[in-house]
Formats: sequence, structure tokens, C-alpha cells
Amino acid sequence: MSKPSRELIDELRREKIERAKQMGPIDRILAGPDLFDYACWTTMLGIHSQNPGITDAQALNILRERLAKREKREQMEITP
Amino acid sequence: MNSLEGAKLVIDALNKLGISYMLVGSMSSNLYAVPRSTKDADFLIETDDRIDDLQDKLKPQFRMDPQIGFETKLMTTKYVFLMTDSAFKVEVFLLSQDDHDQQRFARRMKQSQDGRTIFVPTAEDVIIQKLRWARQKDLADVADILDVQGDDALNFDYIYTWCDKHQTRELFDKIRTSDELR
Repeated sequence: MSKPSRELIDELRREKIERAKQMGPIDRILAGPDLFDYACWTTMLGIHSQNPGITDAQALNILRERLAKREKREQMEITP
Repeated sequence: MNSLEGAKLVIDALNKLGISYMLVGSMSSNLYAVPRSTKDADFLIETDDRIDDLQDKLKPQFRMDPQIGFETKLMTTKYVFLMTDSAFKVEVFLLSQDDHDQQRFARRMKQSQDGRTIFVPTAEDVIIQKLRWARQKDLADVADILDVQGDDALNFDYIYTWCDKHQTRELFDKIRTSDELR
């Protein structure tokens, strides 16, 4: 697959910015957890697929562990 | 209950309890930038007098971590509420004595839509705080805010005054002129 051109990247970014400008203030704020729900839903499907037979509660624990690891990595990136 | 409903529950609870608060962190930058997924909601509260009332109001959808945390950058207390049905988390920080923390809280604004109200920092204060944290995602948020808000909507004198105090002017100028980030 070829690398997307700078023009295409810029165009997609302009579209995202225009969409953001058209949203209401609270909608923009609440888009964060809404997008997170979608990300979790797809990740949970993956966790279930990798671990057949586990319960939703067990899958949620695995998801929490993954997020905790990610948070730790983000914290380590902090500049002094 | 999912994360979106959980976030609404916390915002409504803070308003109903009359707690002086302000939304901070990634959710507040979503207001001024290109919205992105956020795994937690961060709030700043003026006092923690009513933290037990907040805890009661959020049960059973949230449980408060019994271990009270400490935020080392601003040197302040942190309460963590974990959602029971989702991986979403709410962190409530006590307003610190830090000069900019005090100022951004005093300048907080009210945003309303469809009958819901949220107190938020100004775009300038979000930028100033993001520059202090300076993680990759914070710098990307700053670039997004600059692009979405546009130069005319921002008070650069105010931003630079704090940048000089925090020694982040060079970083801010780098983002403003970066072809990679903007």
C-alpha cells in the first residue's frame, strides 16, 4: 500500500477540524467517553476472540490491565 | 452503564451537589480541539468538603479508590472513582496552591447545551497546562487547539506570560511553526 500524500493528510485534517467546529460544546466534550466506549467495544471483541470462554467481567479485567500498562507508559514519557 | 453515561452522571452529580468544579484534562481539550477518545474524566474541585457526598451520589455505578492519591506535578490530592461496568475512570483533583492552577480555576467558564451545564477552563488555560505536561498527546492537543480556534480567537499575550513563567515558550513556538504538527 502506498503512503498517503501530504495533500491527502492535510485534506483529512481539514475535514476533521470542520466537523469539530460544527459540533455543540457539550457534544465535543462528551465525544471523548463516547469514542472510548467504541474503542473498548472493539478491544473487548478482540479479547474474547483471543480468550475463548472467558466472561465479560474477565475480559473487562484484561482490558483494565492493558489500559493501566498504557497509562504507565504515558506517565514515563513526562518531561521533567 | 457505559462510559458516556458515566461521564454525564458525574457532571450532573457535581452540579446537583453545588460543588465548585471545573473539567480539566483531555475532555476539556476536546471542547477546543478535534475530539479524541478519552479513557478518563478529570475534574478540579475547589474544596473536598463534599467528597463523601459525591461518592454516595455516584454509587453503585462508581466506586471510590480507598487509597487517596497524590498528583506530584501540582502537589495536590487526587480522588479516583472507578466505573464498575466499564474501564472508564474519573479523577478528581483538589485545587492546588499553584499560581496557574488558581488562575485557571478563577477564569473558568460555563458551557451549556441541551439542558446540561459544564464548567470548563478557557482555551488559553488548556494550552498553558498542556505545555506543562508536554507528553506527545498533549503537544498534539495544543496543535489541534491552535488549528480549530484560529489565531484570532486566542489571547497570545496571556499564553506567553505563563509560558515565560513555566519556561515553555520555546516549546509553544515550535508547535506554532511546526509543519509536522500543524
